[in-house]
Amino acid sequence: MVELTKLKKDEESQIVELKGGKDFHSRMASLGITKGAAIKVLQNYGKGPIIVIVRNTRIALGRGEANKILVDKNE
Amino acid sequence: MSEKVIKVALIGQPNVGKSTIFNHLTGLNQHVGNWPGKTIEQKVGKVVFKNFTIEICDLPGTYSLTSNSEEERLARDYIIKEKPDLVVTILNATAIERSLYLLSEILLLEVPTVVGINMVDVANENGIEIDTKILEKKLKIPVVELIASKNLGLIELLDKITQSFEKREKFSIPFSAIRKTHKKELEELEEILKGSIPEHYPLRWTSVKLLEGDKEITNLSKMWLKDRWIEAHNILEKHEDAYLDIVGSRYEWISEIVSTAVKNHRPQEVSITDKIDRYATHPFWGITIVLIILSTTFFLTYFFAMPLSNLLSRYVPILQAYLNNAASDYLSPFVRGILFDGALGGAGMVFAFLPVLVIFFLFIGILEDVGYLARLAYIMDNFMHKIGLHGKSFLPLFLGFGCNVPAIMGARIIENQRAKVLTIILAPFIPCSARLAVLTFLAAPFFGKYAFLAIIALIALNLVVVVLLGKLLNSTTFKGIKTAFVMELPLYHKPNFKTIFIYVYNNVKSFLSKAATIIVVVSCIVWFLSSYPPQNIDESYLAQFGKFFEKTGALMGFPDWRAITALTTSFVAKENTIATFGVLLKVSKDETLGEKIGEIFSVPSAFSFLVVQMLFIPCLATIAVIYKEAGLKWAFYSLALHLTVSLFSGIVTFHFLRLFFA
Repeated sequence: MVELTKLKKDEESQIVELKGGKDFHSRMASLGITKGAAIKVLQNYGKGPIIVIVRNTRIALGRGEANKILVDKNE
Repeated sequence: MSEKVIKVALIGQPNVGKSTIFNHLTGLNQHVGNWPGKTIEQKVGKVVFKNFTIEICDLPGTYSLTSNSEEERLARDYIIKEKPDLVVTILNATAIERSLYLLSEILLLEVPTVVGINMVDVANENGIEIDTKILEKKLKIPVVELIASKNLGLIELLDKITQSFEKREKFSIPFSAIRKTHKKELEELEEILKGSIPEHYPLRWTSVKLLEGDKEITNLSKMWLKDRWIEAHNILEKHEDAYLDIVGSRYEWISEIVSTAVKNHRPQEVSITDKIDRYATHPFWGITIVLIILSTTFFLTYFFAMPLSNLLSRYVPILQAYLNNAASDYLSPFVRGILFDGALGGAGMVFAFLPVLVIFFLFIGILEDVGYLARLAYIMDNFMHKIGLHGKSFLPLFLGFGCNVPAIMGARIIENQRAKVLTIILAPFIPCSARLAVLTFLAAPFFGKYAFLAIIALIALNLVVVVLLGKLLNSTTFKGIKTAFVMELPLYHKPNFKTIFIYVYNNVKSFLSKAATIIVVVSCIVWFLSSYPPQNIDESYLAQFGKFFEKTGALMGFPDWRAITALTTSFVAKENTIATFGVLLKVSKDETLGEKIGEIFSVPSAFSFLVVQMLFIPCLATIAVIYKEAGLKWAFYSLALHLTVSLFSGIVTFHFLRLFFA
């Protein structure tokens, strides 16, 4: 289980857990970011926001937010 | 025969094409106002269809119906309290799961709903096929396919609305609001709330929101339940994690629907959007594209809009003189003064402003409609972080180059209240087109052939001040802003010119109705202050004011009170600086205003004057909007900050430059 920011460009995984409070959870849920959803990193340049695609939606996430999303790391 | 009226609320997530649908349905037959007591725009329009009048209220675009943002609260309050006959929910065919999430929130409110699935064509191009028949059966509500950009499906939508209205079918929530693990607690809460909550609040929805930890509903429930709140509180405290089962249950329902009604034939394919984004969101190419777009905007503004503005403003004095002359037998000098010099002068200024605004909104409208605006925010996020803001603040600040008024209104897209206020406070420091116009006008007589260089230097200096101020405020007044950045990057698509046209039209109209009246009224007041007592302009109230502050002006190297007076009148509208010089310097026929102004300033004092002019308190319209958007406290804060920063910068500039231009 690793933070979403650890994934490289074009890596795919599955969301295992969301950290943070209820507000963060409901905000993420409304964008389709929930436990169990498949997620793919489209862009990650090591700093600044990353871009992911979840449930066919492209979403830009600040690194702070992305670090609260834990994904499955398939070795 | 009396026409039947159907009250419809239109709702959908951002970037779903909702405004295109609204515009196609209502055309220019729409009214743009504000929500009562709020600063968020409310659009209402009418369609006559068969023997029905359908009144459509365009609710703010929201991803869900929590109480976390004002838009969401407005949308749900409208449905709960205004009780529309019908809600039309627009789903995005290319992102059906996320769209259904919003629908699940609406269905919980137990209002009759008709669903429109938009962008079916784009979905098909991407290999996504939706079986509307199955979807209709699963959702148990009418579903219509739409391609709003091509005006397809809208008649069917209207048909479904009227049919659904006439049938008045009994409504039931088609999914389980919570997983089994917490079903008992939900029912217990319902038991407690029953009888205590106002009739228009749906019982199930209210209980679900309580379990979700919704702040507004929690507070309301405390009020409704009084002593019995403790019972609810005990349940909520013990089952803090229940909200996971609410979200989980919804997405389980969604997955079940999607697995039968939606087929994705090419899930692995790289779409056109991704291909464009390789460049548009690339750290290097992305910035390059931003720079190209920004410079094109400026190019168009300066070479098309500004000359047109200047042309318009040149005809105003001619018209004023003509009317003054023509009416001299019928009207007293006072009436002529207030009508032609005051009101018409102000109105002329407003009109001169229009070409710039039109170009600007046109650009923003196109960028937003094709889906690029979100990328711009993404690209600028790193830079904006340095001044304690995130990428979303870049858009409003960028708008500030056109006019500070829409810039401040644009700060609404920022969810975090403090980040929003900081953006509002910084926006008026961006040199708006009116200030830039004054700058270009005065630079020529002040600096001769170095005018262009001076303009660039002053704009650069101005932007440095914005960055420094951002850093400063971010580590003092606005310390500890959390800059959460979450934003959807919509699919790119071809621009829809009707949507863009209506966007420009509405924004220009709202500028005219909000700012123009203030400008005209205050122009009349300034005319009065500069004309009374009537003997001599040098003795007018305005002149007396300037003279009172002459010593302050001297600190910044201002030649005399006339510079102070000219600066003061810029409070009405920035262009007034020049107009006031025109009145005070009494330009004769064989010289131009520019030459005359140039005569009274030295290089350091001219530079200092322009620095102060650029940073001085924003125009009245801007202050009025700050007051409306952020409150009285921040309006005063803004005034004080501008005064301090501009005077300080002026003094520093003057004394620094005097070292070189003795």
